Amino acid sequence: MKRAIHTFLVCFIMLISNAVMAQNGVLKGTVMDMNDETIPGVTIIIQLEAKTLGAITNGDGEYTLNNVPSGVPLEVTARSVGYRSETSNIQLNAGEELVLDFTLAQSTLNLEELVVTGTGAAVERQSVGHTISSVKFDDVASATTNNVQDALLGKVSGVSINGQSGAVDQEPKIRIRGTSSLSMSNQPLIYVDGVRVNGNGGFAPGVGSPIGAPSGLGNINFDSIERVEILKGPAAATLYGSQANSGVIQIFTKQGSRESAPQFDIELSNEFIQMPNRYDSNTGFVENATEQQNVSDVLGLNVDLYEPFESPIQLIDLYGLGMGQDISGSVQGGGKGMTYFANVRYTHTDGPFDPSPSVFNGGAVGNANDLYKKLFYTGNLNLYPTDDFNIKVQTSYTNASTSIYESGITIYTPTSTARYAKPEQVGQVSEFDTFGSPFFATPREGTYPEITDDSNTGRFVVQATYLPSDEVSIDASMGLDYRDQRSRRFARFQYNVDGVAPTGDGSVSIGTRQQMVWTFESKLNWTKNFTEDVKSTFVTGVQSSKDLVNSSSGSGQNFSGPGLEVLGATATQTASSGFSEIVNLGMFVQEQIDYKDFLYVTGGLRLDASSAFGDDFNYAAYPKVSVSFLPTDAFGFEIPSVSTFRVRAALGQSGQQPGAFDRFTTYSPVNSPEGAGLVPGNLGNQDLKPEVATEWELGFELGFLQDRLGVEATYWDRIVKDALIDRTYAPSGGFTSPQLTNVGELVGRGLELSVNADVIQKRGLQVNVFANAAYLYEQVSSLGGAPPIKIDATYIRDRMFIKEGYAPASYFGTRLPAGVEFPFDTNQDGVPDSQAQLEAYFANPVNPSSFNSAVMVAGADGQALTGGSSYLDHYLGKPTPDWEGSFGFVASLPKNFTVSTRFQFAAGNYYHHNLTRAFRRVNSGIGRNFMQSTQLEAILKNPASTTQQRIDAGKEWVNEILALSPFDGLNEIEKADYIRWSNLSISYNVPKTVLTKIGVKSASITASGNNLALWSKYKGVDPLATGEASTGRGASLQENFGGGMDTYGTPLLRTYSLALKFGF
Amino acid sequence: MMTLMIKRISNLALVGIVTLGLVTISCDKILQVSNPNSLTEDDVTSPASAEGVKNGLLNSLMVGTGWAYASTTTISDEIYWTGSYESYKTYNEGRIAFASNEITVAGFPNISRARYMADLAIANIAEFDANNELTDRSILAKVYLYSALVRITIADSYDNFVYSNKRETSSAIGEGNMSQVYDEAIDHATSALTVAQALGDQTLEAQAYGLRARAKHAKAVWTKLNPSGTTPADPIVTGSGASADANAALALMSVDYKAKFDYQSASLSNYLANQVNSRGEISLLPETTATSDGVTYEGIEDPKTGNLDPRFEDIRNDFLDTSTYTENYSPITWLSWREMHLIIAEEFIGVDDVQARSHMNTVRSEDGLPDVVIGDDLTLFIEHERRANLYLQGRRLNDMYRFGSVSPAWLGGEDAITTPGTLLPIPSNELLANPDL
Repeated sequence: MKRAIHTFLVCFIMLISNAVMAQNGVLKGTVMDMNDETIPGVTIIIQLEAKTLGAITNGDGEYTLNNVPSGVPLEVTARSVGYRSETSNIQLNAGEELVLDFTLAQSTLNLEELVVTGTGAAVERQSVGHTISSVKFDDVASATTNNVQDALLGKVSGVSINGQSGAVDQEPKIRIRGTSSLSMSNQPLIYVDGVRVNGNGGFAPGVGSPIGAPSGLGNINFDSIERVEILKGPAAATLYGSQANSGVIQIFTKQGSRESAPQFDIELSNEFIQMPNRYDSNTGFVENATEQQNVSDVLGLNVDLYEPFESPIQLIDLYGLGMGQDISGSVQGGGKGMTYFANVRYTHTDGPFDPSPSVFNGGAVGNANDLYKKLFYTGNLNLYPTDDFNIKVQTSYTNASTSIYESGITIYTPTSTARYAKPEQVGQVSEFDTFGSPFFATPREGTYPEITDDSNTGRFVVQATYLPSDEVSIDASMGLDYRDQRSRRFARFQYNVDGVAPTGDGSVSIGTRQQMVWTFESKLNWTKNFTEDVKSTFVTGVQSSKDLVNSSSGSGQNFSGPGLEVLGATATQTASSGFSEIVNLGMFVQEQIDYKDFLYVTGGLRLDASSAFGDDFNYAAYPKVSVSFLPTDAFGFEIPSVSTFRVRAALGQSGQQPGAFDRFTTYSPVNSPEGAGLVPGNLGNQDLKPEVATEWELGFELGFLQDRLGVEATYWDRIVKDALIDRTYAPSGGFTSPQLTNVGELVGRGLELSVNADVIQKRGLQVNVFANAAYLYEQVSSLGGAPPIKIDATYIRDRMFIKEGYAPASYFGTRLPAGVEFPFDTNQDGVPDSQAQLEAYFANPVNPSSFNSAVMVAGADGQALTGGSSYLDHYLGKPTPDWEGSFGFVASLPKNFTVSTRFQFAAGNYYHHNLTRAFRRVNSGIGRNFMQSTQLEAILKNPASTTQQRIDAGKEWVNEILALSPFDGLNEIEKADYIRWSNLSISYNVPKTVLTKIGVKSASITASGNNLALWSKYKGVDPLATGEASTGRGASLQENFGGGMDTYGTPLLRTYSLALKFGF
Repeated sequence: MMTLMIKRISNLALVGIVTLGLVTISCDKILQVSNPNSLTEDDVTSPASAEGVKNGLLNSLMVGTGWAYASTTTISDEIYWTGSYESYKTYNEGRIAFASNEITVAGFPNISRARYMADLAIANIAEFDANNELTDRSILAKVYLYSALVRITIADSYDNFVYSNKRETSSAIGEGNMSQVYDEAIDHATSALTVAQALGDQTLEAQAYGLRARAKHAKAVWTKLNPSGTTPADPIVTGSGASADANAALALMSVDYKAKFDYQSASLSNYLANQVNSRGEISLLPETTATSDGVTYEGIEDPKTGNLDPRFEDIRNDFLDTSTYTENYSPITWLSWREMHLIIAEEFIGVDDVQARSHMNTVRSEDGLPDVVIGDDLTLFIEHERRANLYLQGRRLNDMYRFGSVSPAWLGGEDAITTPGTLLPIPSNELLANPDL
């Protein structure tokens, strides 16, 4: 590998030493749409061999191209996402200034747009055989959006973005074409302007709340983003090498345009945030006079013994209407030799969590909240000293401050305590316990612990491009992406105000993380027209990155007095620190042959070395090949109404590498009363190598009626070999942590369909309807002889497994025997109890807690097992839907109004683990507190019930309520199909006549609502809700699949926004 | 002119960036990264690591014990379920053999790690000692002691067990062969004794004798309970040889000597304490009475006084003393002067009741309790004395089995009732990952 790179360097530097110059006239003009509205951001291009003369229209739709060669025929093309490209032929005289205007019609396919991600150089999308999606955020819905993950929701077929919780800023779970790795990260690589950035968020080590983990993408300034390109898998992402299994998202920031006056844009927006009330109401019944009196005193309800009632105090009462403000100012423009863009933006969001003393009978509440403050800065400067050379300096900085209340699977949070509260137990521990939570903590106590995160993140990039000749371009970039982060969880002295919560004298945990990702990339692009019909584009380059992480954490319990917040003031303390360094080194080469602009054949190869591969592993090689073909252009025929027809195919590989130290057998430091010690750490595996994904895809684009109707379809097929699995070896071997092992094979295939139609295109009225859907099939085809692997090896309630022949993380658990009306066997004779036996058992009041030793479950073959047996291995479904997609429309209405809406859906063999409801159904300590469960328990325990009433209640209990250990999985895995009304936006653009009077160039007002409604078979709060969200901490089975469990998850938030935009 | 100068500067900048980047990435050392977070396998075979390995064993033993006791004490009548984990509920009800019980599943890796560390420590440190590379031989003595303790805890808690080595899996020891684990404990205690005597370290010597007494007594209990399924007609252990060791230990111990696991160390918590004091999943027996999920529990009363037994009360209050230990670090006693007396007393029952009463009364007098006298049921009293004095020390479940006591929470159809003697099974995570099972 090293010898190859040295040889490559020599050639590379020799090529740099050649320099050629050129010169000439001026071309300028305006680009309009069919409504005679100017279009900003349109790319105007003149292609001269490798060299591209280009300009971008400013806010007035104007462009200027200097030094256009004279005396030669030239093709000038105007391109913009969402419009059909237009090309004009010109020839300038020396010194001439030519005005060339364009009018662009809307298009649904955009095959001529330029793309750069994974292609080595800027090329037309039609020349690329793999799928590459480009998204611009100039639509109505994006006007009120705050971050890139929300803006991408439902936009691209096969790209699933899951918000996971009701936190305002949550690390999203992004999946492109499903699961591409079992134990390595499935989050796509994130690039910004060609430089790799750390896209993961989360808290610093030592502060471990998965819910509310701040998003890494959310720290990228959305107002600086021009567009996003997405590569969906190995076939497309080969040039990104050993970490690109899961696709690549590249963000392009705004750069300004040459020779345009400064354009200022101001945006003000307000957001109202609501927690959807999809929570089951808390219910209960009293069993004695004390409870009866407490319910009367605290809740004001007079109830009879065993009379089910609904509490007037519910979890939703902890929420109010959250509000957010966003103010942003940008300037962009350029001179003859430079362009610039700068933006400063500030957001302040106070989420809906708003507990009030009135909910707690006047008891004081804590300071936990959901408050976010972010300051963004982006500054880009592009210098063009000559036509042959440019240098770009790009800087960004984000200061983010997050404060979030605790939620999720942890048992002490207000959102969990409020849901396992039992209303009949109100007032037992304190007059302020209006929920009835004598275990773990009261919801009021849950309002005290605060989790905060303060981070400074940023990026500094220097890029240079040099064109030694019309055929050759060389560019190089160096980038630094950094993060400096401090997280803290703090519960103040005597925060257990109701006397229930543990560590009542308070605690504090502090974590810090400094991370720096250095990248270097350089490539050479050589374009050559071999003949008039055959054009070659050759790209080669090197890419390297170095990821350094330094972290430390400490925690302490029990402050010595009030007002203390520091670690040193606690009675017991722990501390730890860690360091990680990963170095990747790769080179790539690619050749594309363009035959007559209707056949494009591309071949490429990526070689990778990494510090993680080990001494015995030299490098990984990832090849790719793709073909793009336009049959109508090739054979000169026309299909009626068909304006565009392309077929394409691609085959490629990429990989995922293990972590920096995964191959070593290690012993980790621990403490003991006799001093520092060592215990088994990482089991180690010297044979560890990257897993390799091979993907092929086949697709077509069809455009009808001048591309007013576009249909796009892609079938893809992927196999991941040497799949890295976090395998838990037999714990009896002493090494109890999972060890990455290349043992598996994972297959996936899918179909991506999208239809986009401009159904009405009239002046003043345009309506575009769209729909996309992605089918996903995935299966663990081999574990290489390894036994099934449990996602969470020790948490028995987690029923997800990696098992041969099943989709990743499929659910397995208990089922009841089919055809047995009441599988109850009190005498354990293997025969369901007779009526007489049931009457004997249920003759007196009975606590359903005692059913366990009588319940008959289904055995391996479905047969009824003897009462008291257990069997946990029935397949119960998978956590990913067969189909996912979105549909909606955008309508430009008369009077300058625009309306758009979008629905998202997921369906087909799709299940979610509703562990929350399982607890609430059956657990005697922290459940049986929603109406069906309460009613049945009341009947069973009520001395006034008849024997038959108890038998019937017992039957319903066993068949519908029973869950949890030792029946894990039973009645817990629920269908999760859904349709979500994800967005409705209405925008009004102030007419130019009015704008002229007030002296601004543009002004608009946009109102939008997000997550407006949800229709689902899922009985929990949201089929996307989980208590175990992605934490942004990289790779593990839990990180990848933990979201399949809804353990006190909160539903995605509903928001209403109003945005004002001014341009001048 | 200006343009030309800018161009030259720019070209130099480009060449500079490219060259710097390429030189950097072509450097031979670039792919070599360091790992200062942990030690490698070679490191632990160095004599310099002996102390660290011993301390790691102690850490693993303490953690593993906390987990094992969380299971066995909840199954017994020492602790009852009050929280969210149904796994504790199933323990509480007497379902023990369920291989997917969450606590059984999570506890097994911890005690297995302790067993692995014990074997690693003995292998490495005994070799250092043989090569005269061990600067402090008390390290070797302690390693043998801790290994003996690991094995006693395993044999006291599990119906069956597996010793594997890293990825090399092994078959199970076998339910009928678990007494071998006590034999290993006896051997290791003997080895500890030899080193301790050579060193003249009386504390280590007392601990070695004491642990050997414990191992011999526990093995005798095991013999009475296996094969499981019946309550032994005679629950009293005699002739195990434990008395001689207990007497030797007592000769070296101060009155009311206790060897405890001091969990008050950073990053080393007592899982049992966490579950009781922090999570509140399980609760110690009350001082008076308490009801949970329809079952009433009572504190341990002294049969003579009818009052709350002060030994139980002291241990209970100490365990719950979060102002001293915070919530996660309550201590666990692993050897005591009291237990030595009770082992001796038990072996005298039916052989020399005077001596039996004398040893029991020596213990009772420490807390001012009335003497056991002629005519008192010594079987009842030895069970009670062990229950009160050894509360939360992992002995109670096997004592309940042999004395025929039942928990008020045990359900009729569950293991504790149907098959007395049932201990923790090899859990599902081991069954799933070990092809030899």
